[in-house]
Amino acid sequence: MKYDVVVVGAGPAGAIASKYAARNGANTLLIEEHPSIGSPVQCAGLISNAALKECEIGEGNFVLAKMKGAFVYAPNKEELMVRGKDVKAYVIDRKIFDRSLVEHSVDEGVDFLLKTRFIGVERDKISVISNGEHKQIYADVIIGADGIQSSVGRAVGIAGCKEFITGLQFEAPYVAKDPEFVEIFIGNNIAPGFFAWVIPFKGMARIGLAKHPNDSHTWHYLENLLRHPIIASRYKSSRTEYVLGGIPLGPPFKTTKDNVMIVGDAAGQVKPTSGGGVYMGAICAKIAGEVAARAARKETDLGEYEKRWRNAIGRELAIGMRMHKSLGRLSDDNLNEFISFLNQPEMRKIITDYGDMDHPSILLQKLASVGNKKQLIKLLGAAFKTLF
Amino acid sequence: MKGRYDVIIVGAGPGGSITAKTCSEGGLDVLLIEKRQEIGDPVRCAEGVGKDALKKHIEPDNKWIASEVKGSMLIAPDGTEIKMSEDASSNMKVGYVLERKIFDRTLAQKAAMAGAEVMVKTRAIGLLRSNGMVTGIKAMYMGETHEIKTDIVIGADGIESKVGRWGGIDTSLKPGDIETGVQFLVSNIDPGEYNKFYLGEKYAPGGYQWIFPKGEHTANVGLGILGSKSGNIRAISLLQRFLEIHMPQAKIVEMVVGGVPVSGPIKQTVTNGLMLVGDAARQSDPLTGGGITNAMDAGKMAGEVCIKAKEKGDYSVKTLKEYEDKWRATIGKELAKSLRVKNLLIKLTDEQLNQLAHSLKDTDSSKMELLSLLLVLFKKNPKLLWELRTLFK
Repeated sequence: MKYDVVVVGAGPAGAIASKYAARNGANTLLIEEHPSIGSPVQCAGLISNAALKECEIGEGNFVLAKMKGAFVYAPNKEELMVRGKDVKAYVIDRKIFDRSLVEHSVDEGVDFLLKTRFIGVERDKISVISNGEHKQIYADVIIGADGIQSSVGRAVGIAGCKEFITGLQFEAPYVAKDPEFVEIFIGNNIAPGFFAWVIPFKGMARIGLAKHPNDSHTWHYLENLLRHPIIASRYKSSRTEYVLGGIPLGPPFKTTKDNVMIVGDAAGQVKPTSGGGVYMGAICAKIAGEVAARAARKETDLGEYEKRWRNAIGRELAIGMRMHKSLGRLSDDNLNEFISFLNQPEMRKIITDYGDMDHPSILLQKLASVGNKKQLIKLLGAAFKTLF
Repeated sequence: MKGRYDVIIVGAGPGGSITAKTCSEGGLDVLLIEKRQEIGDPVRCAEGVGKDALKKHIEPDNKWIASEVKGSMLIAPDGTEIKMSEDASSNMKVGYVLERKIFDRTLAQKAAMAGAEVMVKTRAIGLLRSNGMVTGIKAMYMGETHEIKTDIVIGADGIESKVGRWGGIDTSLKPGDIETGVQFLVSNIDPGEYNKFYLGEKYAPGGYQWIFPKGEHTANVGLGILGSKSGNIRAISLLQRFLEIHMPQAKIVEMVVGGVPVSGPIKQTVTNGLMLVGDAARQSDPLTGGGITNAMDAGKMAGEVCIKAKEKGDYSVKTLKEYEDKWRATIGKELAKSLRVKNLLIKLTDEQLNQLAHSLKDTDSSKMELLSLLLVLFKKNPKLLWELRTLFK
């Protein structure tokens, strides 16, 4: 087998990268190690408006509910209501969503092989095990969209992501305060270094959290979360689905080597403030696909990918990373102070006007222009300084 | 999880979830466990159901309906097409092809919202007994063994049910009684408006090959073969060959393998404190392989019997037998007919199948359901179908 571009991994980033490679004239193959797409699910399944738009597949039957805002609960239970003007995010079924993306890629002319696992790469030759058989595939350009701890990246010596957080979630019946609002819980006893969430849909909810992997008790924190008085009053019993996974934060120094590039979770193209990877992954995958197709024709080299994706999202990633670090260091007292700071009427108005899951830096700038700068600097220190 | 429930159901497929929902709505305290961490995955099914049969249990929702079909089309080995419809009276589309990944989860969610406690990642590893009664289960959850007491255990744990076996019911199948199935979800094709069934040795020895539309340009394409008829041919090779010839442009976006029991009903489905539902009770149609709505019907019956048993305070076979009698009188009758038709069909040669198809040349079968079609066929080909003569009484 011989292709211009081979994409490893049929998650959103791989599907979109392969589609764009094919659209730009490359004879493209997409391979996936599992027998079905999107399994196992490793994601909370909440994506922003902008993320869905970047995916270019419309509002399919994977949309389970639409969210208009969030209630954020401080460690002292103070409630901050964050409301957008209209739909801000979609609760999606990731299996059906991922499969739609692959179907669109296949419709663009991409060849697709299931149960095909990447083993190694030697210049323009990839080794795979396809349906139990060893096979070799020739490719001019290889895109590793194979997720956290990318085998493709490791095979060519691209360093891994800087940091990982671990996430755990289940689904159960839940009486949400408002069925169009996500509930967010912060606090060092709740989810150290990150946050816990409740994402409602149709009388059910996804209840989960992500935290620093510094100790191995994600399960313990989840059980603990269920005893939080707010959740305990809205959740009774049942776990109709579990999802667990790791979220990479902070891209490696380089995401290309020779004729190989990595994209999506593999390249740490994930919002460090929310852990969401579809939006950034989609933006970078389009660039990867297009550059791969042109590089296969020797019209460019892979350095163009590195440059363009960092131009597109590098700043947002860097600020997000600093915000993540600053927020992660706050004590519960600081977090309480931060929420009550945001809960001032003029701050809430700014959040409503400028709040954007995908671009927290814009919000931060606006908050700074109105609010008490000293207080913000004290709380968010490093993140805040990088803006000016 | 608590230490005691009125009813514990093992397996969160459609049969288990409907049983759980029925019991919960009847006021019982219910636990529904599923060993996998995701309900409805992997899908081992062509996903077709009749509209009316489904609507008895749940209001159709576009979230889990992948497409609607006008009926079934049988295709003889030489390509002759026979259209059929389950609803003789209308021109409406009569069938759904489901998105089972969502459908199965929706059913489990409905059970949970009705009050049942649903626990995934929880595996039954044995039964508790006392005085000849099943009185609970042993289950593994998060690496720990739990003993959970109950009045009735429902085994909805699929073919060759372990729960049934632990309860002393022989649920094993001979290899010859299992149809080996393989299915691809393919894209980039025109799926048509009918569920298509390709008959004959050339497609699927001892079984058939199917195409079920699943969207504008996707479909479930699969086949089932009987080990005793197919020799060394592998199901997957046959299916790949079918794709190369009939839809070379098709792209495979998912593949599943699985076994469907085609042996006809199991001898026993209840014992003291235990009932079997769905594939565990072999309630799939041996002719079509379809089992979703049968399992849901049986789940409803089993749930209703649980409620009665609770009222009486008796969980012995004496009370639970009502479930067995009820399902055999309804689902069981249909299964018996299907088994006879299937047993005859797999004996026919490709030429005989062609001959049957040609005999319908002047018949409009598009408003007929299977039994009326068979009657027409029987009248036109009495010799060939003599075995079916008592079917139409």
